[in-house]
Amino acid sequence: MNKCASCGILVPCHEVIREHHGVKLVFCSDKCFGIYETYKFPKYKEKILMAERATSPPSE
Amino acid sequence: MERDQKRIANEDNKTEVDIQTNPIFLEVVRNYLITTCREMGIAMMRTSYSPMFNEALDFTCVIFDGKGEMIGQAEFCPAHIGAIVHTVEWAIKEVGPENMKPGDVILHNDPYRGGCHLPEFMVLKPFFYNGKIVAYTANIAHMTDVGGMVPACFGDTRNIFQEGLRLPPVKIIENDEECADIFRIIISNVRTPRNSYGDLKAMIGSCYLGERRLRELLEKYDLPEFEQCTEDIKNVSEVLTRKAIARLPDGETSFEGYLEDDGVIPDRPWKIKGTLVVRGDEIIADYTGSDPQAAGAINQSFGVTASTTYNAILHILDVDIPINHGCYRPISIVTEPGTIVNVDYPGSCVGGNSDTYPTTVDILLSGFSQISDRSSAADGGTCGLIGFGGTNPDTGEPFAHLHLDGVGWGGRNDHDGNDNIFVKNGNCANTPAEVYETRYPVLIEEYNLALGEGAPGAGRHRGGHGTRRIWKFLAPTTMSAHTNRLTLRPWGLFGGDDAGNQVLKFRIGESKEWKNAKEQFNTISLGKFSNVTMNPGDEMLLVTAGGGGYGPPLERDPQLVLEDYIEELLTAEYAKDKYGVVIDEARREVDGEATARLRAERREK
Repeated sequence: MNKCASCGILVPCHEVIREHHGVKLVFCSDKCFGIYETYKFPKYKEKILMAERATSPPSE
Repeated sequence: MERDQKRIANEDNKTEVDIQTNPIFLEVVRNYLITTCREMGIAMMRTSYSPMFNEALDFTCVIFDGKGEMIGQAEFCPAHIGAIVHTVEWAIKEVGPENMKPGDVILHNDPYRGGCHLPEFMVLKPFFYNGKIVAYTANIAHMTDVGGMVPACFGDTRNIFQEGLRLPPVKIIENDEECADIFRIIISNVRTPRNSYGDLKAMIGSCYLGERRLRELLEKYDLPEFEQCTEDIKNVSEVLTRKAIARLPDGETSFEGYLEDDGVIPDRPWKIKGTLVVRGDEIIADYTGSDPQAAGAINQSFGVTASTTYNAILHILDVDIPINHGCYRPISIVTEPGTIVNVDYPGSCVGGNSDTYPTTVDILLSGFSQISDRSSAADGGTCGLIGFGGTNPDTGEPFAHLHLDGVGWGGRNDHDGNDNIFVKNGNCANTPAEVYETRYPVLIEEYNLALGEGAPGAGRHRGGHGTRRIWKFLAPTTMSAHTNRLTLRPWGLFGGDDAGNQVLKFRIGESKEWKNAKEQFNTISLGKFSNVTMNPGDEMLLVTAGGGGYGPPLERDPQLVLEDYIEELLTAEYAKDKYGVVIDEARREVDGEATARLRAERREK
């Protein structure tokens, strides 16, 4: 099951899927997407990108 | 009813809402919903079996609209009122409104699915009118025992399986008939099947009562009118909340504090940390920086963390804002899964809703103290959770009981802290000594305000007093505990003193010496352990902590010090030491000149 990329809650269904910085992300609501876009990503950008690089499959 | 169109807005007109409902009709309906919730609560209290409900009142009755948004609640437990929005939302999404029918009741207690913790059972009844769901009535209540490794659930559990029975959203009533298999699963897995069955029926009955009251309302007014009115009820609350937030200064404020241990890893405190962000008329509570989830039961589920956030914010905003879904709209939460504030499966979290919660609220309030004068010093910070279980020798029946007690609340800008009030997550009552001695094989040998150990912090406004209670056991009893503030003290604010620690001690057999849990039972933690045995004649002492002080003690009004002296809450010597107040004991008056001289000397130092 997915977790909201902003608040961290488990999202059972009716996920809100949005693309941001080239990545498809799952949110529980449009409100959380707004928080991610205007607050979380700008504040934690380096940490988020580092975590994504660490979990992305290695390129061939 | 006429519809008056009104436009209400924030002071700088950033948020505008059209209110279409006549304001008098809106208030009538809003108060009808509150009164219905109160009536549901009375029904619950009078028909439930366990003292947890009919004495301690640890339950909450709520009404939601057809969208699953809260429109009515009453003077119940803040922890429930905050978390239930997520619990209900999850239950509706997972079951699906299209799969609900008239006569259905859904049951759910899963903390990973928006719930609080396993003991908090939530029942939800869809209310159908003209063939569609127009509202839900709900009751969330703390079941005393849900199985698991300790009677009454609270100890040093290490995963969800040790805590007890976990139920995803399931139908417990279908077509107004009991789903017998679900009831049989529940009562086969709890220590008190008779009480648990009776309590569940009381919860369900309260939801049916709420449904009847909603039907009576809709027989008087049109459905479209009702639906518009409930939208406006939420919208009014949203705008009032945004107005109140907009009066706070914009910016970021940090908060940080600790839980003293998790009951599993010795002497390791756990950090709750983050940032409060005020942006115009909205607040973000960002818990980034909090510790990874603990090995023991102190973790909070997301629902609990959301609830602590709403609780702290609503404490510092206007008290007149009607509490419903609208209040929560301007508040956002950021957490990382797998941390102490958003536990991942299968992490233990039974203590998170009850005993971590008040500390989290106090930590948030300490952050808010930098931007609001409505914050308070820390309260006693624990529910004093002690679980008892055994067989009653008089009746031969198994018993399980969860003890809750009051603490002292922290001093505030304009008032001393409350004495002996349950922590900020609950609006619960204590279990009277008479009920204890009637229902369980114990004697209550003492129950007082705590004046020595656990004493409140001095301050311009002092903290409130906790309590001191001694039990004597009359039959073999299994006892477990999940409490806090035995090592970390409730803190003062702005020069106020910290309060004293909580105390939990035992006097076993013929011994005259009180020993703590580590000394007596070789536990890892002073306040979190499972399944120790108390035998007939053994005694237990619990002193709950007072609240921290607010402001320097030397600034306290000498007349308030004198009042406390006359009430025998402090001695003349303490008044002189802590407050610089000299009391003429023979005349029972403040010696003004001596007090002024003493305080001047102290300030020079």
